[in-house]
Formats: sequence, structure tokens, C-alpha cells
Amino acid sequence: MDGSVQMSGNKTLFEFPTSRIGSAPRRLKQIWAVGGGKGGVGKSLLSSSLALALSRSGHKTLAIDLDLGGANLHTTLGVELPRQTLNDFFAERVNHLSSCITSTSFPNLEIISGAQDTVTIANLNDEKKLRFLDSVRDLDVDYIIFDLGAGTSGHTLDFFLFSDVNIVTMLPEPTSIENGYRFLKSAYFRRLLVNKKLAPIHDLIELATDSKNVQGVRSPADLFKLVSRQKPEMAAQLKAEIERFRPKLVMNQVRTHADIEIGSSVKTVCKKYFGIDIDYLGYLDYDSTVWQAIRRKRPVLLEFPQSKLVGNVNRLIDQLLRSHGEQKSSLL
Amino acid sequence: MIFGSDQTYYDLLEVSSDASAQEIKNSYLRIKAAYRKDNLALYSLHEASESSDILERIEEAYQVLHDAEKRRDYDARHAFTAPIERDEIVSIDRVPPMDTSDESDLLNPPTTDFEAPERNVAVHAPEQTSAFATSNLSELNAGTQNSKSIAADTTVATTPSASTSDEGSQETEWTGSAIRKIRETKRYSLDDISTQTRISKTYLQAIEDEAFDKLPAPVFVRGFIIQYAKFLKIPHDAAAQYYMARFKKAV
Ligand SMILES: Nc1ncnc2c1ncn2[C@@H]1O[C@H](COP(=O)(O)OP(=O)(O)OP(=O)(O)O)[C@@H](O)[C@H]1O
Ligand SMILES: [Mg+2]
Repeated sequence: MDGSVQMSGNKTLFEFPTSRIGSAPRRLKQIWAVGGGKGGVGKSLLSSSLALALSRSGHKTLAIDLDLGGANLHTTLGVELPRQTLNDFFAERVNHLSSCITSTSFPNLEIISGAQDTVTIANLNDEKKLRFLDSVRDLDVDYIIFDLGAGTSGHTLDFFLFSDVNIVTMLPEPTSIENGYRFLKSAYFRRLLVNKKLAPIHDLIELATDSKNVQGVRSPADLFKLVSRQKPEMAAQLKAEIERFRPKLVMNQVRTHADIEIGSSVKTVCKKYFGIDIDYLGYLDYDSTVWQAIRRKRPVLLEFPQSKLVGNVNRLIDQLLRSHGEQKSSLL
Repeated sequence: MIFGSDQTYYDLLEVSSDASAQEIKNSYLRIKAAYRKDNLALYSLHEASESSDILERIEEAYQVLHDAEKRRDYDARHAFTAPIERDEIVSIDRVPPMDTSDESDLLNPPTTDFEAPERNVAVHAPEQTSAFATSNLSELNAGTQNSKSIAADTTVATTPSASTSDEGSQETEWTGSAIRKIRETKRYSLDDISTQTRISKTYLQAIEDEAFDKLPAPVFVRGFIIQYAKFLKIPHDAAAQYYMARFKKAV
């Protein structure tokens, strides 16, 4: 594997696996990750729906449940808890990640179920994580969807960042918006921190990740100002790295037109206050069929084909595929 | 945008400089709504108390840009360009973010400005979305980048008049590529220059490439060269004279 964990001073830094030059061509086209900070904002609903829709349009798709400890993606897709899960991979009971793949009753759609075992999760370290990220790229599928857990733990952020399309879900509710911002900012700083090119300003980035820092660095924009003052020669590089990250926003459970517009406002506000550019990808209507489908342990898209969600999800998929779906992943 | 001190009215309204009147209006209304005190999107942002300040600037920008005549004036003063072809962006709010017209540039690390002529064929969509595209790329290019920065350093010695003095610069050949070398030596990206001088990047690029057919009337170009040269602290009169002579000969 080519990802590595290194010691730098007293801090552990690691690098994501990078392109392997000269390795055999892979089938994988892209990895999409769905995160959002808060629990219950529809990450699993969105991941499973995107995965299902992709598989139904003929792409071999794999949904991976990366909600450490709270794995339930299989339920959303109507699969019994599989025998082999990520537990087995992380606990090194299986050699190949592919052994953890479970088929579903839907053509072209497979899943890897999440790790539930608390001991395994507690022992998950950067090395195992990197082994996972490295292996993921060899799986024989077209698209991989990561369903992430709540919160902003380092592991969750890393899974989020190791993807071609970074999707954040929010609800039109204060707490979700607050957590969504926190998630975005954390992901941002994490992304800068693992970037080797920014090594000369690691200390400043680390400082920024401490939300109570006395320098008052609260956002990428603040960090940029600080770096411009203290290490001006790095400012242009930092700016370029900041601007290169474009997470996508999906508003979930919208009930009114005003709810939809909150997404636009979030975009505007993110840019102004944090210097973060996001693309507002679209929304999912609130739909009471969702819980009915969950009760029946069936994907809502199939159980209620008349649901507004079907149109919502298709629009999101269209957008994503049209803009860059056919592009080769940069992670390969 | 947020990283530069100078935001143009177009930046403020999050539209590109070729936006239609309707686009400008839509965006203005959208942004105004975003800063309404009761907007959920402001929740938890303590900095949001500044929002009245932002609203004032938005208002000022709109007063100019929604008035065709004032807008024309403003454009002329700030050398905004005619419409440029844009990439499609992934967004349901039809208003593109302010920097879409320059998407392909944004995606290039500053160092790739060196390969300016290839800029338009550079990848756009994939990089926009992939967090690690550039770090991977840069690893592949690590070798080349090193040699580039060495090259940039040596230009300090070899390029004409990298110093700010006017002496002896009469004979200097102020070609587009000479100007580019100075800029690169000083480690400015075209974006930086564009933000500071408010000359559109398309024109700056054309100046450096000597893509004369892409430049407007000589009288404007002369102004651009002077502005650009002043910013780079090179003798602006000499530069303008030399460059304009080439320009006129070619046209
Ligand atoms: N668009 C929607 N319409 C109606 N109900 C929804 C919608 N989206 C989500 N829900 C409800 O919210 C609950 C949480 O959704 P989901 O499990 O997808 O969220 P999550 O972000 O994955 O949560 P966790 O962080 O716990 O993994 C679901 O049980 C579902 O009933
Ligand atoms: Mg979930």
C-alpha cells in the first residue's frame, strides 16, 4: 500500500493513499461520500437512495456503511445483518475487503455492512484505516458510496475526504445547520492538515482546529489571514488548496419553498463567513413514506415509486453524473 | 472574494461579470434573503452581527449593477470583459458562484500558470470535486515542480530589470513573456493581479501570451499595461511603449 503513517515531531501525520503509477487499471469510477455532522439528518437515506438509483441505471454500485458503531445501512436497503462486516476487516479476520461484500436483492447493488463491535472500533487506527482506503479502490465496482456516521471524529472526516464527491446533508433546522457548519469546517481543516504541501504551516492549521484558540481563527478565511501575516510565502498555496475543495450540499426533509432556499443561503453564508465554496446540489422533500418504508425494511424508492423522493433522487443523480460522473476518480 | 481585500460588485453579488440583468436581480434577492436576521442559515454564526454591514455593500453593488448605464460605466472603469464561455456547474440555484468563469484557472495550482497556453484544455470537472486531486498530481509532478521553482529563481538574475529601478530599462524587451517572468518571480498568480488591478484575467492572460486578437482596442491595452506594470513595479512607460509597438505591428 502506498499510504503511510509518519511521525513528524511529536505529531502523527499520515497521507492518504495516492495514485499508484503503473498499476493495473481499476474498474472503480468514483467514490461519493455522504456526511453531515448531526445524527438523523438523512445520511443513510440519501446514501442508500443514491446507491440504489445508480445501480438501477446500470452502474455496478457498492454502498459501504462507515457509521462506526451505528451501522444500519443494511436495514435501509432491506438486507439482514450480513455475516461478514467491516468488523472482520478491521479486526483482520479476513484478508481481503472483498470478502466483506454482501449482495442485495437488487441487481448491480452490493453493500459492505458497518463495524458494530465496540472493541474493534476503539482499535481502529490510522494504519487500518489507510489499509481500508487503499483496498477500497481495488473493488470490482463502478461507484462506491460511503455512508458516514454522525460527528466530526478524525476517522469520519477522513472517510469523507477520501472521496471524489463530498456530500453534506442538512435539515432546515437550527441544530442541523450548526452541526453542518461545524462538520464542514472540521473537514476543511483536516483536509489542509493532511496535505503535505502545506507542511510548513501545519502548526497554524492545527491551531485553527482548536476551536478555542486565542488567535480567534474560526474559519479557513481566518486561517488565510493568519498565514498571510505569519508565513506570507505560503499564503498563495493555502488559498489554492482552500479553493480547490468544493463540498456539495443536499437539504433534506424540506417542506416548503423557503426550506429549499435555506440551502442557497447556506451557500452564500458559507462563502462569506468561512471562505468555503459549496455547490448546492439539491434537496429531498419530507415524505412520510420514508418511515413506512423503513418499517417494512424496504428501500423507499422501490416501495413507494410515486414518492416525491424518487424525482428528488433522480435529479441529484443526473446533476452528479452530468457534471463529473464519468470522470475517472482522482483517487486511483 | 473573501481572500482578497478588494471585492468587485460582481463578487459581492455572486454573479459573473457577464451575468444578465435578471441573473443579477435574482442573486441580489437571494443574498438579501440569506442575511435576513431570522434566516436559519445564519444560526450559530456569531459573526452574523456584521450582516447589516454586508447588506449595505450588497445594496451598493446592486444600485450600480442593476442600472444598465451605471453598470457600463463600472465595467469600463474596471475592465470587465465580454462574456466568456462557462462550464456548467452543479448547483440548483441557477446563479453561478462568482468565480465560475475562471473555473479552469482556479483548479490549476499557481505553478501551472507556467503552462498558460494549455490552460483551456486543462481538466475542469473532476478536480472541482475531488479533494485530493491536486495533492496527487503534485506528487506526480514533484520533480517538475522543483525544477520550475529553480527556474523561477534564476529568472531573478536573467530577466530584464526585475529591480524596481528605471535605469537602463529603455532597451529592455517588454514582451508578454518577459512580463510573465517578472510576475512569476514575484510569485503572483494571475488571480492576484486581476484582483489587485481589476483587469480581467482573460486580458491579463492574453497580454502575457501576446494573443493580440483577444485584446481590445490599443487605447485600453495601453492602460492595462501601465496598470499591470505599476503593480509589478517595473518601468511602466517603457513597458507600455515597447509592448504597444509590438501590439500595433502585429494587428
Ligand atoms: N426526506 C425524509 N422524509 C421523511 N423522513 C425522513 C427523511 N429523511 C430522513 N427521514 C427520517 O429520519 C430518520 C433518520 O434518517 P437517516 O437514518 O437516513 O439519518 P442518518 O443521518 O443516517 O442518521 P444517523 O446519524 O443516525 O446514521 C429516518 O428514520 C427517517 O424516518
Ligand atoms: Mg445513518
